[in-house]
Formats: sequence, C-alpha cells, structure tokens
Amino acid sequence: MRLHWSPSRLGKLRLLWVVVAGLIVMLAMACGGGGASEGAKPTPEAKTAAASIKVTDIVGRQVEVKAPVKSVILGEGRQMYVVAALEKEDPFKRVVGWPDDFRTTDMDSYKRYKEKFPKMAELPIFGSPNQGQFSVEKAIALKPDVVILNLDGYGPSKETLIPQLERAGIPTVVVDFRQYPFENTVPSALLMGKLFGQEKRAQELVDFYIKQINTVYDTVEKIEKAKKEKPLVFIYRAAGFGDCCGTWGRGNMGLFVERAGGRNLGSEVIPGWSGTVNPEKVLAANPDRLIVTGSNWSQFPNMKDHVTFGYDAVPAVSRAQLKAMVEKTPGWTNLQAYKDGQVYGIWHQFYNSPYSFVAFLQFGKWLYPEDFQQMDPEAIYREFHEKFLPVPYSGTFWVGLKEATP
Amino acid sequence: MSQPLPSSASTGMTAAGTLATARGLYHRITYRKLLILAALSVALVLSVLWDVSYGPSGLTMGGVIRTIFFRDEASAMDQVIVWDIRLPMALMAVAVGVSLSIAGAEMQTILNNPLASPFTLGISAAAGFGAALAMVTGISVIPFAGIFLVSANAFVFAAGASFLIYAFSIMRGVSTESMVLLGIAMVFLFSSLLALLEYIANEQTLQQVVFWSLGSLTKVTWPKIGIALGVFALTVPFFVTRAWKLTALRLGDESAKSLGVDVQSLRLQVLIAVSLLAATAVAFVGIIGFVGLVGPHVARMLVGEDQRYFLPASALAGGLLLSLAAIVSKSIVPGALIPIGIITSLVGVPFFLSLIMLRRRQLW
Amino acid sequence: MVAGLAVESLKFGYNKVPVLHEVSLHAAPGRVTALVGPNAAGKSTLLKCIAGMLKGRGTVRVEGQDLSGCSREEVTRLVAYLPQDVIPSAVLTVYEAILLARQTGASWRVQDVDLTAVLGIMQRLQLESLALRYLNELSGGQKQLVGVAQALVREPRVLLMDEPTSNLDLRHQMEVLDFVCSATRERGLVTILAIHDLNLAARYADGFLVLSEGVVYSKGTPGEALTPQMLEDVYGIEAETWRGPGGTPFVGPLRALPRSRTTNPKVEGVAT
Repeated sequence: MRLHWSPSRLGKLRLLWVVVAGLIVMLAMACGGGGASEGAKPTPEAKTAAASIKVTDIVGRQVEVKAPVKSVILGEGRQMYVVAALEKEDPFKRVVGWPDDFRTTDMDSYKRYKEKFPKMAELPIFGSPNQGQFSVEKAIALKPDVVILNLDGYGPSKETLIPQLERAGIPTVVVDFRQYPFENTVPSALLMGKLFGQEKRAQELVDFYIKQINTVYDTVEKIEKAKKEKPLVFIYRAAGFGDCCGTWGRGNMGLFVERAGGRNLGSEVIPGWSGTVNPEKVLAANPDRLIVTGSNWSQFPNMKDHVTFGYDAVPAVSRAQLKAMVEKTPGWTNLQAYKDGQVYGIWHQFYNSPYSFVAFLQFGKWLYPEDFQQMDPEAIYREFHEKFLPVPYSGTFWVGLKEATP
Repeated sequence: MSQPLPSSASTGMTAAGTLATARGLYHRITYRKLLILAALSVALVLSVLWDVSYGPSGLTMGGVIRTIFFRDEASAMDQVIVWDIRLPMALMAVAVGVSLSIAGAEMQTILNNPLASPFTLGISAAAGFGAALAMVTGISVIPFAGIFLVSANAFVFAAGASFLIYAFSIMRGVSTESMVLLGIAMVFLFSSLLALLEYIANEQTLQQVVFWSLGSLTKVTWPKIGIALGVFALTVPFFVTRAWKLTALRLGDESAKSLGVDVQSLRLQVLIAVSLLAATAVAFVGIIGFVGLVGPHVARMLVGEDQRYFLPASALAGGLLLSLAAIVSKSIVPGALIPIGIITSLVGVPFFLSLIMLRRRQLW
Repeated sequence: MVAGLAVESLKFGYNKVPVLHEVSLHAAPGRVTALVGPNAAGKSTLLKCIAGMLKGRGTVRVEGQDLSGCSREEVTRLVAYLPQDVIPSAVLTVYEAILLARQTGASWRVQDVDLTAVLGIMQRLQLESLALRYLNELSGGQKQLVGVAQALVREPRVLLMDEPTSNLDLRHQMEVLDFVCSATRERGLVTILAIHDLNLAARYADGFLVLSEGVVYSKGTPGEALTPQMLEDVYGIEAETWRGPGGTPFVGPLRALPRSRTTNPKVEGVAT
C-alpha cells in the first residue's frame, strides 16, 4: 500500500518561496562579485618569450621552468636573503607574493629593506606551506612562473599543493638552506641563480661562500692534527621562545659546531636535527661554551625576553640581554662557561641563509680563539654586504659576555 | 498541533471514515517532517553553491558555473581552481559533516547519552594519534600507503580503538556506562600519546601535527572523496534497515527487548558501522569537533527521534553545518584558511551551552 | 489445540544461581491472572521467560504453538510484555511511540492497517488529545497508558504486565486495570499481571498465581489463594482476610513476623 502525501497548496508555495529567495540571494552575490579578491596584482602578459629550461631541484625533481622567471612566489619569506644577494638592485622585481616570516622573525632586516623598497609592504601575504595554510587558489590567481618551496615545506605539500599548482601550469622548485646547509646551500643558490637569470651572480656568491667555509676547514684540519681537546658546546636555540632548552642535534648549527672542531651537546642527546634537551643535562655536562641564538622577535605576540640581533641591534644592549638570559636560566650562573666568560650570542637567522658561513667562522673563533685569531668575521660580513646586498652593514650580529670579544 | 481530535466513538464514523482520520493524523505528523527535510536539503545545496563560488581568486559565480558545466571552455587556471580546489573542499565538507553527524546520531542512540559523539568514544583522538605518528616518525601501519600515509594511519588507529571497545564490551557485557567510560579512557590514552609525539617532534613537524589536529580541508583530493562516499554508501543501508529497531532502543533496553529487539547485538553492530564512518571522516580531514554532537541535536529538535526522519535530518544538518563552517573558515581572513575545527568548536560551544540552559523544553 | 498459555517446567538461572524452579502454569484466554509474591520471588523473570526475552529451560506454548520454534518477530507478535518502570526519554510523540510498537520489519513504509490500529487504541485509552505531545511532557499515569497502548496495539494473544500500576495514583490505577480487564475479555487475551498490591489484584483478577522463591506456592481464585497461611509462609506477615460486599477478598496486614519463621516449607522439599 503506498504512502499518500498531499500537502496543501499553501505549503507548496511556501517551499517554492524559500527556494526562489535563496536563488535570488545567490544571484545578487554573483553580480556583486562572488568571492573576494584580495590584493591580486594584475600580472602583465609575458612580453619576451622566456626560454623553457629544465632544472633539477634539491630533492632531485626534474622541473621545467620558463627562465628567467618574470614572477615568482617565495615559499618562505626568508628566501629573500638569497634573492637579495642575487638581485641587489631590485630584489622584489620578480616577487609577487610571499609568507610573512621575514617581518616576524627578522624585524631589523625588514625595516631596512622596507626603507629601500617600500612596495615590499604591499606584497600579497601567504600562509606557510608547512602548516597547509598556503592558499593555492590565491597563488594561481597571481599567475607566477614558479613557486619556490623550502625543503621542510616540501613534505606537507606533496599531496595537494604541488599537484594543484602543476595542473594550473605552475611549476614548483624545492630549495634548502636550513635542514642540510653544508650540502644544499650551494646547489640551492645556483638553482635560484638559474631561475632568476643571474647565473653569474650566483656563481660569485657560491665562490665567496666556499672560500670562507674552506678557511674554517683548513684551520680545523690543523687543529685536529694537533689533537687538541675539543670544547663541549651547548647551543641554546631560539632562547626566549618558551623555556630552556631547545637546541640542534646533528643538524644546522649543531653541525657548524662539529665541523668547526667542537663537540655539540645536542648531537649527543637528540635523535633528530633539532629538539629539546633536559635542562639538568646541560648543567650536568657543564659545557665549555654556551651559545644563545636570538633575533628581533618583537613582532611575535607574548614574546618573552630574548636576545636581539640585527641591523639595529646595539652591542651593549645585546650583551645585557645575553647576561639577563643566562641569569634567568636556572643553574647557568654556576656553569664554568659563565664564570670563564665563555658565553656568546649570535643571530638566529644565520641558520637559514647563505650567510651561514659567517656563523661558521665565528664559531671557529669562539672555539679556538688562538687558531682563528687572524680571522675577522665582521669584516668579511661587511665585505659581503658591499658586494652582494642592497642594504649596508650595521648593527650587531653576535656578542660575547666579555666586553672584549675575540 | 494541540487541537483535540474527534473521537470516532462520539461521531460514530464508519470504517472508511476511521481510515481517513487515521491517515489524516499520520500525514499531519509526517508532512511537517518532510517539509523540514526538504528545507534542509535546499539549504545544503545553496550552501555548497556558495562555498564553491567563494574564494580569493576573483572568480565570479558565473565563472564557476561555466567552469563546472562547460569545463573545456574555461582556462586552465579556472579549471584547477574550481575542479581541484573549490569543489573537492566543498564536497568533502559535506561528506565529512554528513558522516560525523550520522555517526554522532547513532552513538547517541545506542549509548543513550546526549553527549556521545565520535569524540566521546575516543575515535577522533585515536585517529589524531595515528596521523601524528605518520607525520612525526614516518611509521606506517599499512605498507605501500604512499601519499595516503597519514590518512591510512589515522584510519587504522581509529578502527583499532573501536575494535578495543568492541572487544571489551563483548567480554564485560554491553552496558552503555561501560562503553562511555571506556571511550573516555581511550580519549585520555590517545591524547597523551599524541602529546608525547608532539613533544619529540621538531618545530616543522610539530606545526603540521598541530594544524592537522585542528581539522583541515586542504588535503582533499577526488580519490579521497570517492572513498568517503563509498564508506557512506556502505554504511547507510545498514542504518536504514534498522531504523525502527534503533528508534525502539530509545525507549529503554527493557522496552526495546520486549519489542523484539536484540539489544546487545544491535549495539555492537551499530558500533562497528559508526566507527567505520567516523574513522574515515577523521582520517581525511583531521579532528573536527562538535559536528557529531551538534548535528544530531539540531535534527532532534526539528524532527524528533523517529529514525526514518532523524537519520536524514542528522545527515543534512551535519553537512549543512560543516559546509557553512567551511565558508566561514575561508572568509574571516580573506586568502587565509582558518582551520575548520576551530570554527566548529567556536560555534559548537555556545550552542552546547544553550542546549544545557534550555532544559525547560526538555530536548532529550 | 489447547487454548491460552501453557507453561511447563520452566527453569531459569543467572550464572548458575537458579531463579525459577520448574514453574508450570496454564492460563485461559479471556481471563486475568494476578502474579503475586514478594520481591525476588522471580515474577519479572517468569514473565520475561514467557515473553522470550530470557532463555529458560522448559516449554511455553501459546494456543498450542511452542514458542521456542518461533522467530523473535513471531513471538513479539503473539506475546506482549510491558516492563516495570518505563521512563523513556526519547523525543517522540505519543503517536510515534505507539506506532513504533507495531513495526517489526525493515521496511519504512507504514501500512493503513497500522494507522487504524494506532488510532483505535488511542481512542480506547482516551489518548487522542495527547497524540502529538512528546513523551517527556506526560505525567506518570499518562506514560503508563502509553505503555499499555504500545503493548496492545500489536494485537497480541498474550499480555504480560510487570507492575503496571506501581507509580500511579489510585484513580489511574483503577482506570488502567479497568481497561486491561475489559480488553482481555473483549479480545480473548491471556493476561498475566504482576502486582504488588494484593487488594487491587484481588479486585480485578480472575485467578491468582502465588510465586515464592522461584516456585509456585499456590494457584486458584483470589479467595482460594489469599489465605493467612499463605501470607505467613510467603510474605512473612501476619494478616487477616475477609470478604467485602460482592465477595471480593480483602487483606489487612497486621504485623511482620520475625525472620526465622519465613522459610517456605514447600521449597525445602523440592529437588533443585
């Protein structure tokens, strides 16, 4: 037996009205422009036919890109460190969008660059690919020739971000200055040089980098032949972001320590390339050197005290902040390193840029002051700025607890 | 609705007249419910259309419709935006909303508990742990998972948690209290394990884990939608054929048994089906809260607990809720995507509180 | 074919603890039997075994048909059991709750005959005005009536009710029992009511079945069953009995007897 249903006419009309009203609303929205379009720059049509080249990126992918690229989206704001070195005259010539981390993690640099290149502040902002916050749709609307991802953003992006961009005809290229700096800095810089049509510049940059790195290696070789005792170092990574004791294991600055002839406490404790160490362990190990990293992190809400470094940093202030940081960390005033004055602070962002050789040099000086006496990292960094960067050298990028730091 | 009905005894109607009255009474009840279901469906469709036409690329509604129906005529860029980004996200939002809401509805039914949802039995927490395990350690429980690594892990752990509850229930007897307690234990267990993973993760992976645990529609692909719909198609007939029995459960165990319902067996079967649904949903989009709780409550307020209407109403309400949440997550900060789990919690909490406050008209 | 309900040698225990020992009874259609006895005598267990909700050993026959050979659905159609203390919190209207009791299959369609049956039972119990009210808005008495409606709308042959009146006031108690009795007679049902209130039972029942510690102590008319000796053996109280106008037996409890005198002599002689 069938179920009967005979709604009243009034009921039918009411239903119809709901549907019609809904459709009218939708139409209104469509006429009004539908989705919001935020800061989409109208990209000029490619005038000169850029040649299509094949490049191999840091993870071994063969990617076809129209180079030199006319427009690029950076997967991390701090890729600007490299871009600025390649295109000193106008680093933002080709950049059409980037994440906000350049501003939040290195306010000093941001300010300097903004002074010189004000339109930088108007670039469309993207979320981080690591967190799946990178809006692919927004990227597609900007029609870039390439999107440059960092290695740590590559994993999370394999499933959707990269294929979606690919289908829209936008290639992605992966670089790395952070996870394996010794292996990847050179190929990444050269790769970006190729993309930007600045191969010559990139080669110069790489040569400079290699020369400096080799000086350290040469000196360390002599030290090791002399079988000197290796100092134990603890790097307090990003001091101020939470409590003690974040550090690097066999990665990044941890490797700087090791290859500069020291022993990295983190490498002996942490399995991965970065992590946290039990504060007790640091006290028990009583390291010979303490290195604290910092930057201008004032843009982070609720940022606790930290040690500032950058173009606007003042040595006396940074030194005072360093002292305060040590005194704030329980037990550190009892450490031998503190009593000997072997406590240092250094700019955190050295860990993620082709300028990392400067930190490497400076570590050498702190570990073996006599052997590295001839070396002057500050002068080298200054020279680097003059040669490669659009902004002049100023401020402080490292400091020691003792006034007269080697 | 409170008009007294004429008594056939007093008016001395014939058998045919009685039948007409009987039908009329039934129709009064069902008509209103069908109308509500229709309205919910329309609202859902509109919401999906709105979701698909909203985004940061400046593509208008007209453009969207053209790209959908005349795909080949649209530019590559528009095609990718509509077919690879917006449509999958919009449809997955609906699929997940529907799955979670049905799962929640049936969990509330079999556990006789208005707070039951995929969270309550620890299924979401287990899925969260599985996903984090994949992200932090790369350990995969299913070999060859490939790009499905995170989802596969999440699913396996969620299903595993359900199986634990199932096994426990068989051994100890299926009382609703013991199931809920065990579920709470699961939540704590997996939440702490997840926290442990978060502790040992490095900064980058930690970010990923945290954002996955907040719920995200960004990792949606068409194969995943296919799987989600497949699981849905598999489990729904199961609930449909047991509609009356499930409604009877709500009268109490004794009454249900007296109506011929095998309460223990039904409870366990539903637990399995519900776990499948919830685990699949969570495996693909991370932990999205409150939909499994709020959807059924909305449905119950609108159409009551006759499962023939309660089930579709829950599904539609859940799909609608999540679809709207997806729109909100896109639009609060243009160009950015607020994790959708945050949106559902923010909306869910005040709703939840209001539910508790409105005890006068007891909705449970 | 033997009419009515026939139970032979019904035995049941929970985890090796015996509850019912070889209970046998026969109840004729069109008659109301009161099942009485103290707490834990096994009244609910007996009713549930007859209804097929618990699996006991022994035979239960309805109109000659052995229930163990029937499917769950068939049994529910033949035997209706109304549990004690039903407090449903479902968001269902009275109409839906009663309609629910008629559905057994997987089909969603509702038949005309179902609709007429529901309307009919609501009219008989005067629940029509409450048809669209939600269950949680009803008073205890009204809920009980809904339960009765749910039991009867299936048109069973056997009606088993477990303490149908314990939460009701006097007036509602009598209304429910009036209705049950008239329905029993009109439809020729076999009705067994487990009741605490002996006087109420005596007033409405055609026969008594006294259960004590899982064994049938006595059967018979109210007058035959309600004796001071029974009250002493089974309930452990001293009471007087008398006849009211119209011959209805009445029980007046006097005092509780000390514990040592409450053993049931009949049980001791039974081999378990």
